Amino acid sequence: MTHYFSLDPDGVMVHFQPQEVAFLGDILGVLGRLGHPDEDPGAARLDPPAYLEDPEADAEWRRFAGSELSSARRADRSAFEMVIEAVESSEDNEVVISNAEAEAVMRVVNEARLVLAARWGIDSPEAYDDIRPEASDALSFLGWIVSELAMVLGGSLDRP
Amino acid sequence: MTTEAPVRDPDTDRGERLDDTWKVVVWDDPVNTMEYVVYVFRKLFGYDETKATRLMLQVHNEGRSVVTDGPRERMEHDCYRLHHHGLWATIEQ
Repeated sequence: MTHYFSLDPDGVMVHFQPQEVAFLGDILGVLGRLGHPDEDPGAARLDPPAYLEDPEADAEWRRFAGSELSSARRADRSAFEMVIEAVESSEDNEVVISNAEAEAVMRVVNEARLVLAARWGIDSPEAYDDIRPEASDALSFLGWIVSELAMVLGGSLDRP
Repeated sequence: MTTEAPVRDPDTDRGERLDDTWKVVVWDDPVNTMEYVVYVFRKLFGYDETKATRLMLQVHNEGRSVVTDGPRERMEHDCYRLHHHGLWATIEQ
């Protein structure tokens, strides 16, 4: 079983093979080319309604939260890019990052997974059986990264 | 012992009654992993692992769970934080 992350006194140790780094680098392209939510289920998935039965409140919510969310996601992607570049340029494919950077990496990988799954029509657990094996492998890999990072960061919450 | 008259809360006079509680609901989706959802609940709301896991399982098994409640403005902020983490969250009264 591959482990990509471990707790470090200074944060989180990240370890990826070069081909994994290359794959992860590509997800920024996925997130950078989101379409309009009306036409791209991936974009729609990232911005769900906050008020289901009150369109006026929902529109107000989007005015309040929309630009903040975009800005927070840009910051996450920038941190993610720096981490990927740091691993890429390291001699042993390892780098120690802060917890905040690790959280940004986790959110970006999760976002990419949400976008891809929405575009591939994953709307139920059974839907995973109907997608191409390569697509299923990609979602599994990204899901593994998100879950492992969540467990490692969860360990940091238990620290006194 | 004296009994003090109830003190009027200025907020109450602005229509924000004490029972004017709003809720944030997280809905089940087939993509976010269980480990991730538990971490997000712990990190954002300070819940211990047991409570975060119970809420995650309620989302998974019942389709939704109220994860926090309080004044509307705070609930909108919490909803924003959940959306930032990719969870499908909504606000209701």
